[in-house]
Amino acid sequence: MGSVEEDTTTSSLLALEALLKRGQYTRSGQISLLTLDIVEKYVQSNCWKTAGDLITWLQDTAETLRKAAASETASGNLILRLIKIVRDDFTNRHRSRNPGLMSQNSVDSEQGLDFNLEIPELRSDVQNTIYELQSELELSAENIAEEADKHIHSNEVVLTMGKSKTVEAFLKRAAKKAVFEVIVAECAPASNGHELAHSLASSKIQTTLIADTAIFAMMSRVNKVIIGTHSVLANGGLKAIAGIHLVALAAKYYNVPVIVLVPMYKLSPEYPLSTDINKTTNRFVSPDQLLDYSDGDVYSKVCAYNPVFDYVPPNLISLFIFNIGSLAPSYIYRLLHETYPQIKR
Amino acid sequence: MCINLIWNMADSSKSGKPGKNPAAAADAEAKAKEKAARKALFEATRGADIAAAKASKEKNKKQVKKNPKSENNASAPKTPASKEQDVPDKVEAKVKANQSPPEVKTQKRVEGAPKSSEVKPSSKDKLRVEKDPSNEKVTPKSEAVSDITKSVRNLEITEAKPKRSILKAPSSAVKGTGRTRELKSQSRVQTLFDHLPKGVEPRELFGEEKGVSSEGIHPGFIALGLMCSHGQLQGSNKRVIALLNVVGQFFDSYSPPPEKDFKDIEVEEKKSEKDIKKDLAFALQVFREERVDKATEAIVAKAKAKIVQDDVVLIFGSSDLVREVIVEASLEKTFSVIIIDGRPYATERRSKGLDIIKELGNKVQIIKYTSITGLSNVIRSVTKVILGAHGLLNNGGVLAHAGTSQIALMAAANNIPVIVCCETLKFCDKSPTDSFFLNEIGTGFGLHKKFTDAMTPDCGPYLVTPVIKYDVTPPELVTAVITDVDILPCTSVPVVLRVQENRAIKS
Amino acid sequence: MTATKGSNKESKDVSKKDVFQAVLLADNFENYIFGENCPFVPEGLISLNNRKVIDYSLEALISSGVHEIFVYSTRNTAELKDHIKNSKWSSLGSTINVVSSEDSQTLGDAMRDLDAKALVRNDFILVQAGVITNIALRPLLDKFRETVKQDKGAVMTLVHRKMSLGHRSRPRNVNHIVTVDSRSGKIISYNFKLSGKKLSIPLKLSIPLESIQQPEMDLYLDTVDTGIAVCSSCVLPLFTDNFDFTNMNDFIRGILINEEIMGNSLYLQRLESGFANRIVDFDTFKGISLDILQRWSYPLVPDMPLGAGQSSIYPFNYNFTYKGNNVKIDHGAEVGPLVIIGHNVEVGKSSSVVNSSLGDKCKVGQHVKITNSFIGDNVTIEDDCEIHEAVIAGNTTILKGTELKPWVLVEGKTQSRIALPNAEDDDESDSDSDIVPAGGQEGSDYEIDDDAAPGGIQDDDFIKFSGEVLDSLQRGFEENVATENLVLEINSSKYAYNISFKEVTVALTKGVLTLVVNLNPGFQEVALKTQWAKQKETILKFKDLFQHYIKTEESQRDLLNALEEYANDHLYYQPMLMQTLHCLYDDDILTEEAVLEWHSSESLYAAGKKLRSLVQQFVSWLENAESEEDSD
Repeated sequence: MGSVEEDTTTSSLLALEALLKRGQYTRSGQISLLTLDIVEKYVQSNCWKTAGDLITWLQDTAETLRKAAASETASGNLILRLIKIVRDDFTNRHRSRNPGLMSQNSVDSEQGLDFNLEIPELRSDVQNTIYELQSELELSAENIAEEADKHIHSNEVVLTMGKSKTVEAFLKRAAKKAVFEVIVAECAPASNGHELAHSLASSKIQTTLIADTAIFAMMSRVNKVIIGTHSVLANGGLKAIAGIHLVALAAKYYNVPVIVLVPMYKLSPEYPLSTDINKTTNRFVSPDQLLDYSDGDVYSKVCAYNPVFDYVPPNLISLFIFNIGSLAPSYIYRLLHETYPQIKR
Repeated sequence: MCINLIWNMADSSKSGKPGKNPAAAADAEAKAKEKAARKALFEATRGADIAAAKASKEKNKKQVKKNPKSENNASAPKTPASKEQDVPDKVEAKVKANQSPPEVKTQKRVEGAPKSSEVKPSSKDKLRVEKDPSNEKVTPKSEAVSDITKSVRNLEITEAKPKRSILKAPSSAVKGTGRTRELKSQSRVQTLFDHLPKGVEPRELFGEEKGVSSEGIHPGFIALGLMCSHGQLQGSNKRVIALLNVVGQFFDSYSPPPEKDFKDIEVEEKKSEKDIKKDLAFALQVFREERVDKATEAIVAKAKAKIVQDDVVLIFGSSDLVREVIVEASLEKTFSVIIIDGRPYATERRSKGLDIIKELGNKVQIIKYTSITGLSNVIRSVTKVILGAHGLLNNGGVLAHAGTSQIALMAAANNIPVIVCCETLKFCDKSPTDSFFLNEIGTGFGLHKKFTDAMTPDCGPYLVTPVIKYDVTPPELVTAVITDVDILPCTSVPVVLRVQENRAIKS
Repeated sequence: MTATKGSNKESKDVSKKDVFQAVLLADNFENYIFGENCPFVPEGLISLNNRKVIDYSLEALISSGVHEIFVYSTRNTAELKDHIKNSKWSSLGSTINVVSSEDSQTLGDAMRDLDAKALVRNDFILVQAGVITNIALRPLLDKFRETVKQDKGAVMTLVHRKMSLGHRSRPRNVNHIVTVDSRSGKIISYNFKLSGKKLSIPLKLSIPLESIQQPEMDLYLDTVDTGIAVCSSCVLPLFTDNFDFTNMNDFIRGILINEEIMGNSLYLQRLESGFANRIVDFDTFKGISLDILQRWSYPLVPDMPLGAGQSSIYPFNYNFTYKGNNVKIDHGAEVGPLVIIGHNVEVGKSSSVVNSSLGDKCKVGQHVKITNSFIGDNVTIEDDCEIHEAVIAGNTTILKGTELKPWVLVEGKTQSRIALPNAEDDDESDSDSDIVPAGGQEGSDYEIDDDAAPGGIQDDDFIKFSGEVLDSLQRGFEENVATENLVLEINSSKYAYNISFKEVTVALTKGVLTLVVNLNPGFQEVALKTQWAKQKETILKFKDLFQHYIKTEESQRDLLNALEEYANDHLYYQPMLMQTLHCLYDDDILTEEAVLEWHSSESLYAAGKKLRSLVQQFVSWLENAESEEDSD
């Protein structure tokens, strides 16, 4: 057995786990790439023989990572996708070898076949899949941006909030063909919006940077709202950066369409747990950005919430744009079914 | 007529009638006739510089004649002018206003501008009326000013046209190749705020280049203006009270020129200057007591009754009135408070919301604090929302600090009652349908420091950071308005205004 | 682009030079944070919000990517080692070495020991006991290295946090005034303003003119030492060279005083954001515990795991409460904001818990009120109790109806009173604290044990020491030795004989007085005027020496007592007592409060009353002068 390789994988996994636990990351894309790296190493190693081994390892890993950071689902999502793909690949290979078998799509038949030895093709299959996933991850922003022309026309006013790599690419792409304006809400207290505003202005897109308090005021003049998100939940709702709910509500009031740009790995098969999603999957970080710790009079009397995420219900969203195409929130269920395996917990 | 008004008031106070009526009468009259005089003074302090600036820009326009005149006037405020001239000027201005519809429109817009720069609605308007005719110091200015206002009005009309063409510009730019990158025109978004005076640094208010000199304006007003623009006077009540104080000072320091001695005014009795001043001061005091102090008490009493034990009350920013409500209520019952804050702050890092914390401190048991972006996380536990307002508009909209509308929206989406506390003083008969009409563009919010350094001259004009200070909350999002008169729905504003007018007219 | 640091693979690749090392002191040598009266638990193992203090420190270090951590422990080392092993800290890739030594009594000793053991090779981060922080330490180290490039003599960067006066997480008796060069951050002067409730303006700061190179200086009163310092590899040898450095304050003073000679300089890093604080006494303990519950120290918060995930997490609930698993809270109970409740806890009806922490497996009865308290694991609190500002150690039962007084530590059946450490001064004797007889009585009274009985401790050591002091003084007088050298001599004698500071004062005073007699044979026969002239000369000569040793109110008291004792024993001196007091008062060695206090206090000596009447004139003058000032 490749014990050295196993060690490497284990240590990388531990490192990732530690990273997640401490919250030392900024974007879920980063996590996803790291996860894929780990999986790649494992797949390349000789630690597994059958599809069953691999799937078990993947499930365990997903579980570990989920425990490490309940609020980060990107890695879990990817692994789930992998599991599904591995199973599908396996089933296909198996079927192609044994055409006589009844072509059932049930889970039972898959389970019964899990321990067959189909190493060579399966291994290369899985490796290919991983490469595909990696390139998908890296190119997701650009793929989504290709849709830009269809959605942004000339002379429009687009509103966005905070900073999203996908949205940035989208807007810049659209700016090549159309002249439009962007209003960026700064998204206090992290104030990522400043970065985006600066970046857009540097690309010569007419940008207006406003404080979050002015969103409703400006909304009456906005044609579209385009936002990114942290993840999409199974019911079509969003887990997005804190403040997006405000934008969505204001947009609903003025009947402005809300378009959400999402790469596939952000689609999560989780449902929002109870109405108080905040309890388990939100992160409340240090109030340092809100209050001044050194001011002894004030800060001690107050408990400050500094949440990272917001939940946005699906009825406020008009359209999702994934790297595979556009969808309405009501269709998410189908996409889930195609992407993720039916996991029994 | 305005002048009559005052001396009537002084009269009646002398004869021992309660000060209420004259003040009310003054109110009603003032409301009916405020526009010109108010505009006059405001143009003098804020708008004039813009007018002058615009005037100097628009030299190649039709109204060339007016420009030199306005400039001249601006630079020679000490041209003696008689009082009689003053009144006819105003009447003339008013007549003009009433006659020409397009002018009326622009006039309104211009009014919108100065109003937003310093003043909160209605209250100050009335006083302005009382003040101007009786003030000789202002007179030379007002003549000049009335000219300026005329020119401004006309400029506005001409301005409107170029603006429309500006709006067309982007599309025309696009028509062809569609790759025009040069910034030929202003953005649509930017033009939304063009009617508002830009937030100016205080020292830029007065100066030779601006064409407005600070001579001829009572220093109290200058101080007031400076404090407002510095952000030291925040909150409509504070501003009203400050204004009342300044007006009082002004009355005090006013002395009529020897030859005038009020002879042109119809008064029943000859009064000494001292008495008149006393009466004016008394009238001011009554006004303040009644419409500001007592009103606050009444509202606080009503509002605190609405807070029940173990409530979770959400408040926004630091409205003085709401703060008092909370503090008073906390003496009787225990409840928790969630304070929402939003940028831009008056001064960076010391947000408005924190001032409340200092006051509330140990009085309220539990205080939670979050930025407006964290609102959706905390809203579920909230039982009621109490907001302050800068003004209540004729169509029921609530003019308040930027962000208020969002809070109301979020609360409404979660079926949480939204209570607005507002004195009748702040009722205003304007009806804007969006947040741009009446607004202030402040200073102090900009791109993060690390980015301003990285801004190349290229991308400079592409980035705008307007500081939007106010917004209008639509009436359907507000559950009730607590006023000194009663607890009303938003849409009752015109009713209240009408009732007050009637009452004033009758007396 | 793995952002992780400290994985085994990486540390192997990294050259020795880049090994990021840190020294974590497990013990707070100065004082036990709960005061002397309380049974000792090593600081690292005190529970803060249901986690051990040392876990917070280790987490802070490991998150910052420290490769090697040396935990220095002097007491309860075995416990500490067990704890670290069980928590599996080592599995995170950083190496943790527990260095133990039973002999080290002070921080200085610890440093010397570490130097001797030659474990630390590079610049390192020194973290004292009880530090909790969420700032990244690596950038501090990098910045320090930059500073060293600019200034070769840079020895240490002290890390302070800006905190306003009166801040709840600020130690009560510690107010440092730091003067810093604006541009470089170099410390120009450091004043240990002692237990200052009042800050007198104008403020006397000693700022050596030569050290001012840049025109801009910043003066800070609102900084608090976080207990973190970035040290160069010279620091340990410096401790070895200077035997009298006992703690950080000595070190700072020493370096600053000798700056021109040795060329070493200190720098200040004043943080204005981020959380960094240190538990030094009960005030800070309470304050920091609340800060953690308010999430200022994110990610070191109860709902995030510390270390390798072995410490349990307590999920964050809406109202800023953290509840573990299996918690049963009765319907009528109020579990207020800023509370952490351990696993398997039961809280009974109508009880209220506010601003407190309850350990695992606790049982709280009905009608119990708990505020601002820290309750350990497995504690049973029966009905109708009231507990405010108390610390209850694990496995204790609080009986029904108990009303604990505030600032009490309960362990088993004993209660001890929690005390604040004395104000920082050179004085190491700290017996001013209240001593509580450890009985099982509730609300037992406490008695104040007066220190040093009259007559002083006249044992051999002291006599020898006095002799040596006298010799030093004599030599100093005759040869005009510089004050610093005298100080050095006296200090070395002090250590040699293990004398307390109080006794040093006594010896010094008596020495100065005796010196005159020794130097002038036939002193006692000469006229009073001449006597006094010589006496005054001597006193003035050693003025600086007095100033060095007499800094606090307590030392002034000792001085006065010593004078009284001497006068009591030597008749000839009595007439000169008043003038001595006057002279010392003029030189600002004695304050009027001290004199008045002494005068109004009961004398322990036979001639006390007589002496007091002798100095009455002076005292009255003082009183009048005071009242004149007041009426101004």
